[in-house]
Amino acid sequence: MKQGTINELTLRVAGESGEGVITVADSVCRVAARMGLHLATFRTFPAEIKGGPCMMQLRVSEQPIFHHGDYADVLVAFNEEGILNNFDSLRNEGTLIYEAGSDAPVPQRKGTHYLPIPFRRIAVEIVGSPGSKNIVALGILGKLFGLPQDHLVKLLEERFRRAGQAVLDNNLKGLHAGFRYAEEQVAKSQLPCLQPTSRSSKLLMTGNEAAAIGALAAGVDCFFGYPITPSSEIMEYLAKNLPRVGGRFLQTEDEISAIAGVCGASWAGRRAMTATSGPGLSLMSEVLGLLSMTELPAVIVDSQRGGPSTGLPTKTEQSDLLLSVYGSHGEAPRIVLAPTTVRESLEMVVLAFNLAEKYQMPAIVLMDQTLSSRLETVDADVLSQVKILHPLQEIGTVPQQYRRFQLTDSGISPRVFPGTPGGFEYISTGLEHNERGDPAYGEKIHTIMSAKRYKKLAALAQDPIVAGLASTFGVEDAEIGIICWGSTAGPVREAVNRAIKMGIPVKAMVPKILNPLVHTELKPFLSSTRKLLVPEMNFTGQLSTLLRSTYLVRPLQLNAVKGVPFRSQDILEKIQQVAGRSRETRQGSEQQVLESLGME
Amino acid sequence: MFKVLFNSEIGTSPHSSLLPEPVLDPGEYGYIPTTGLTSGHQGCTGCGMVSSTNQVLRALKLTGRYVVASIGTGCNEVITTQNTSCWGKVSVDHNNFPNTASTLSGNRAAYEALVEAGLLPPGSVLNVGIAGDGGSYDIGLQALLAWIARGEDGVYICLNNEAYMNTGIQSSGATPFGAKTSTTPFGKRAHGNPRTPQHLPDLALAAGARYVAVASPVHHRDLAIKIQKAALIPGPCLVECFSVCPPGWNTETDFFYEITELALRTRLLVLYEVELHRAEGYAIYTLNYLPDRFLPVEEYFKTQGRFKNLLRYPEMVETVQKFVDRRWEFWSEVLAQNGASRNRRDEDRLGRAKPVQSRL
Repeated sequence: MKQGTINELTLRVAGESGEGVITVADSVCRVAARMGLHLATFRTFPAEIKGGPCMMQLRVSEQPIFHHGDYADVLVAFNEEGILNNFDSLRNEGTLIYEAGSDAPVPQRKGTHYLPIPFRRIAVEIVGSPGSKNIVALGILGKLFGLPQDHLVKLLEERFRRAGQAVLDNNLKGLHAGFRYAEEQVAKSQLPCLQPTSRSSKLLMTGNEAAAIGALAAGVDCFFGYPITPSSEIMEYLAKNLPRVGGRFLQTEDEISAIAGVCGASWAGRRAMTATSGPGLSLMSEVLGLLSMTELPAVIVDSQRGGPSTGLPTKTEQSDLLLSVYGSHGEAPRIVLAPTTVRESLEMVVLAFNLAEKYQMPAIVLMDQTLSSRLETVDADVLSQVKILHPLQEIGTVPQQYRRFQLTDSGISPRVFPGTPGGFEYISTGLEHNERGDPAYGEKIHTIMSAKRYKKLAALAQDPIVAGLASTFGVEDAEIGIICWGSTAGPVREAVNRAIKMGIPVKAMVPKILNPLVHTELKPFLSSTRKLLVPEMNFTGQLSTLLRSTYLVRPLQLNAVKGVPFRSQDILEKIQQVAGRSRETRQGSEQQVLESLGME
Repeated sequence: MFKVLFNSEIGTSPHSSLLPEPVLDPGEYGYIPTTGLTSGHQGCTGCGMVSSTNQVLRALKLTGRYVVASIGTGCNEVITTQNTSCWGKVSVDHNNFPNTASTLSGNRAAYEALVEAGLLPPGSVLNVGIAGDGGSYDIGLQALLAWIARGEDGVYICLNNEAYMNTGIQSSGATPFGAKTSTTPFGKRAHGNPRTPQHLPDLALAAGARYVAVASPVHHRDLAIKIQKAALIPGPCLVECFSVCPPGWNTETDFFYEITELALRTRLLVLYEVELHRAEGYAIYTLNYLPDRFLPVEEYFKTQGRFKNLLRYPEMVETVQKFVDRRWEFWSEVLAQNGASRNRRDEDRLGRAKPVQSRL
């Protein structure tokens, strides 16, 4: 660790779920956000309902950050399992803070600093209950990292006010005990230090909260949902807050019903959405086809988790891309967006509403478990920059001539809501239909209507809104180019920066709209790239598949399905390998399987 | 629909008279399952569901048939299968959320085909489906009712803890009126769950289940008898187990027995069984447990954090009380017709009365 760095800290707290591990890390996050620092977190959940190992990592910086950090500077472990599971994630010169007095063996490593602290004993002696050890730890960490004491006190007051004065007093006692212990017993030494900045404090939210706030900002009228990890928080947030602004929240009996509810509300002219994860999206895929056929807007947030089937419910993966793009029988066009940060999750949900309504088709926002559960600071101006578009289509003045599926240049037809006076009634059907909406299966009509539906996707690709939906960074004329999507963009950005510092020219592009993939900036990027690398958190390389088939390129793949996000180190090693700077490092069995399948 | 008959009108129940004494002497078996689940489950402290599953499995194993279980996603699946399987000598087919009953059908069909081909002796396998309230009341309801309607042989157990506990306590079709969950919050506009929950045993009867029962893991003997009866009666049978969930209901973890007992005394939970003779057009209702005294529903609500806010609205509590009273009119009729019911919990293994020691 660099000696006493200022405002650069990666902290990992680990222990048993229910010990207050998350409370400690979460409190440090909130104080850092109020100090105006940038922040990103990563947390794992146990699969058990109560108990089981859990961990939260947070990274604080004065500069904007895109990733929660590869290695922790400081690891706080409340139990033996916490040490053993996370020791490898501690930087070589890092500091291990652990429960003193337990006879658990502590792995020894040269260069690592060890700081045993009797959290439990302090909690028992001063507060009178071992359960307060997390608050004692918070006090000690607060002191060590130089967090303002009044911020911490205020935070605890907010958190425990409703639990009663006695609970609050106990917690404050624990906090002050921590302060005192750190003051008297711990040498300040080499630990990083956090200082308030002149910037105003930031909003702190998870990806799920951001998506829910985005929906509110976009003026969602109806939400239909069914509980599924890791997207349930979106539904829980809207259950509380949507009725407050006059919206309707409905919990349905399954995902089919949820998306069908969205379909009904959308037909009736209201902005409607649902949120789910992979298994739910699988169930929804039939209605996705119906939405494409009946040309109705809908927004679906998919927080991806490990699959297939029940898979890894609490772990991350990027394996629903092809399902999102192609899922459903027949050919059903839809929009697929992929945010890379918490802020973008908010913005993308708004954009999804706008695009879905304009192009009259479902829009899927692909998040993943990492993004859904990560806390990140967001600038307070985010909501004022959101634009809501309610595109209006010319419906003509003669109701008798109204054609719901009128053929137009863009493919977009006039949409009239039920109950509009003056004879605008039409049949909305999943059967193939003519311009008026009446079922028709003539020789030509299916071809004409299929072309009409896909025309909208072509029009969307030319839309100026879409032009800005890709970020590019790195050395512009580099031979090695990386294309990635979703939350993988964070580690890629770090890896690119590190590679450039090492003298390897590399560039990267992150398309945030994945269907249609025809992107004005993608073509020049691909044509100027000699070695294309596509890192993805899935086994087969789903974006690679799309790129191969759309642009006839041969990307080099970097795939991982470990259930945890990439480290920037993983990507950096691959860049070095592609650049010929290092020997083959990934000669694992999964690589051989991929090669035998004809993939690199 | 069917006509409700009472035991007194037809003498003993035709089904029951055919059955052997359900809980057999364990001494008759070479292999004596003293417990259903083997060690190592990961349930929370005070989980009623683990106890239910344990006793259900034990009762099933005691029938001497090989148990094949189709289990739906949910708490029960998570806590009994992760890292170590707690199912012992039971073949477990964990499927997706909506299709516990459909997979049960598949298991049964395969078994029947094996019997027909002479590869398995008839009557050697017991097909059981186990799912939670979310998997039975909501997403799995279609499959469940269709399975019942097909009339296949099997036992379906619904472990009812009254919400989606596995994904973070969201309300389900079984969540009680006025209960707070993460999707039925309390505030100025919302007052907890606005719906009166549907009653799965009634739905199952309407679909044509041969035997339907409500049981509780606290009443061991009653539960065991019901499970074994369900296993022996041909055709689709359903048993719902009332399962206390301390984290979801926000209760103390050592309060499992008392909460169940309060649910019974407030009559929010009624232990009963129904034998349906659909073709003949009648059903026989039996009340299995009559509490020694009745209490107002508040007494039950007071024990659980999920009802904390509900108690602030006396008119909502009144609604529940009225519902309970009205429903009991039916059970008073059953009582009047059938005489005092036997309290199986207070019987020993041979059915002799046991002195009652209430902790309340």
